[in-house]
Amino acid sequence: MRGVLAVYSKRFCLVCIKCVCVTLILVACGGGGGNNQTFSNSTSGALGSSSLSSNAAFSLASFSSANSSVSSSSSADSIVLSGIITYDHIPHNTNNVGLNYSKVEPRPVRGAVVELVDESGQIKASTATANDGSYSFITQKNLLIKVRVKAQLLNVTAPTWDFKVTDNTSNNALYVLEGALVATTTQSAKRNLHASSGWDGTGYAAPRAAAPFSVLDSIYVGLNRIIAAGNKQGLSPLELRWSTKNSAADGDITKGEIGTSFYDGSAIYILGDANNDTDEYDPHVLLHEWGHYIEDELFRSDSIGGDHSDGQLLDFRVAMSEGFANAFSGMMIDKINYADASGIGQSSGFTFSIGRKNRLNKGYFSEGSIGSILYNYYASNINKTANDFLPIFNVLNNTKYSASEAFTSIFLFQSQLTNQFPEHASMFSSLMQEQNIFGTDEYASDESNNGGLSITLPVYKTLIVNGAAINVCSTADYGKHNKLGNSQFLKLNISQTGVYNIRANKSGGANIISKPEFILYQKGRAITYVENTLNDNVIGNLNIPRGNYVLEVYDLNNHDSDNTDENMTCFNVRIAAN
Amino acid sequence: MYALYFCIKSGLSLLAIAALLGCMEKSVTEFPTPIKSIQSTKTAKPGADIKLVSNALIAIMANELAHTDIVLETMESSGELIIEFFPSQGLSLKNTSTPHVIKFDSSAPIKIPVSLAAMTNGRYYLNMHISLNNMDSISVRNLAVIVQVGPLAEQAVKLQKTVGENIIVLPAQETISSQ
Repeated sequence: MRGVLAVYSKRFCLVCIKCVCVTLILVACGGGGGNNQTFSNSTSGALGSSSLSSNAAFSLASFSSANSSVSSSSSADSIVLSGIITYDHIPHNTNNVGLNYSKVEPRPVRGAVVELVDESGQIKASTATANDGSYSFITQKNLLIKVRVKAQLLNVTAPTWDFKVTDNTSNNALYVLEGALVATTTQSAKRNLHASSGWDGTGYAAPRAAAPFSVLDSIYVGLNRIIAAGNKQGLSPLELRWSTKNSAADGDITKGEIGTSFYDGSAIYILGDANNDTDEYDPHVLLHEWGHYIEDELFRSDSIGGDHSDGQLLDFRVAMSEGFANAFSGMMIDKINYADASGIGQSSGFTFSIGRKNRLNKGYFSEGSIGSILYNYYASNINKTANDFLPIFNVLNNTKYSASEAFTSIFLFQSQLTNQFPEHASMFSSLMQEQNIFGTDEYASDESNNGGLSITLPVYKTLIVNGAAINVCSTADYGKHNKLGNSQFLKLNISQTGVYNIRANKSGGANIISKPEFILYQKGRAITYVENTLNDNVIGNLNIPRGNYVLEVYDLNNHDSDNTDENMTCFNVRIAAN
Repeated sequence: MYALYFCIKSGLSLLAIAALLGCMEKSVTEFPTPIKSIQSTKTAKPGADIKLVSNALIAIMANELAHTDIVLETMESSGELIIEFFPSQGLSLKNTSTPHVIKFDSSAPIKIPVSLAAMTNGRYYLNMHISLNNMDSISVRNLAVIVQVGPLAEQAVKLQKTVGENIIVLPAQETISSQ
């Protein structure tokens, strides 16, 4: 009996231990069900401080000339070697369609790194060209050297920058213009270098040496405008990758198959395929992409990227970013007509007025509307100086803009502009209303333009902890991924740190299997993404600190470009404290 | 009985240890879920609302007439497309009119049958210059299809290396004079 009891005791003991272990596991797992995730602490991004000076009339050219350096030598053995560096600039036709090769003119290469290089490749001295393309060295007599000009803007003292034009089809090699290896004499000398376009009257018959320097010069102009607006923040190094092989084919970038000119967050790629599409002489194209880089470096953009064009009804974050980039390109060179040359002999292409007010599909979701508002504000002289970038720079570079709890949008811009420049508020409001935009704060309160989709209003719904479900719908009526109606946005206030259950359950719409997902954002930064694992439902248990958030909810079917179906599906969204 | 007592005591001890461990852990255990990158940061230049939705790369054999469909898509509900085809050197486009004019009144995909041929192996491109008139404005976008004829050949990259830097030297028109 005792033996039997011992056996049963032993078994009971084992069962006991198993039960305890199972219990421990269950406790550790939080009770099971749904997706359980911690709320990860976000690290702040380096968006830059807003230490602007009101008298920041900084000249890039004067800064460059201070960089002149010399090779070490005594004055008796020294001579002055100087010159002017130029490149062929090819303007657009007066109607802004196509390039006009008959009007090619030499222009100075400005702010570029210039080196003296000896026969073994050693760099003997380095400087930068001035605003007129000039450079100067004091160097030794009877020295075998050549002048090398790099397609590079470089500043190593604060504020720093490093922009290079490189060839993505040759391991991102840097373009340089070189003169001949010639001995200096006992007298000072001039060596002028010119980068030719390579155009022989009917086509490109010689190396297109001017192209990289044309690209560089557009950046030089933009950089000067940013500094003049008061920027003192250093900029991350950036390569602008151009090649004669860069074409509209979308495939292997090392072969030049870049698809289009674009910025991908790490570099700018530029078309150079003659007789199809080239962009080295299209400053609007170059500055549009550089404008996205400047958004990343100095301002804030919540854009999710993707395909876009004027006339499309876009996710408002995308519309703001693309509208800004279009306006920025025009502002930097004070040319309202965007021009992009292409085609045989680069003789065609297209143009549009960035400031155009009459258009189809006006609204906060239209990059055309946003570009028009921003450019016309820039150009206005009502209570401000016309063509002054400083107010726009001040609004976008302000920490209140970059730290806003709302997404970047024209609404946020207007809200911050009203705070900083109240004397401009009325004029800006008129520009907004001309584009059928009526929201009154950063959350687009009172917006009445739904773009033809009633589900889009209000622009931000409000989700209350332990409150009633909010019904939202996702549709692909205007396209996939980054279009108006793909996603819905809900404001969320968490008054107490804790674990919260967020769920979206299908409530109606098309008779298909929906794939709801959600992303939780704080100040534009994606904090947690809960992907779909259940048909028609998504659930997440999140540990959320106290604060304000925006929840983006969508049907993944409407973000997936490979899914050709276009359906509207609706969901009840709830949040409950655990 | 002693065994039972031992069992319960062990269980309680385990529970106590587990509770202590639990206090040291976060209140909600992480279930590692890869945060999928759902944001494309690629921003392209403005242009016509038209994109290629058929294969961006077509593989054909040399000396073979290959038939395929180019499929384009626009979100415009109506308008006119003018498509000019420009095959790269060595690639021939047969039985396809250029320019190709298409009037459309819906956003349904636009299918264009083309016939392509190349005599020798290599990588070619069928370039398309596309103009879109949506009755509000005219815009342009250039697209291209890669035509791979035969196996893909590795391309040699020529570089001129100098001390510590990877450069491509462009020839200058230089004038030298005394000061």
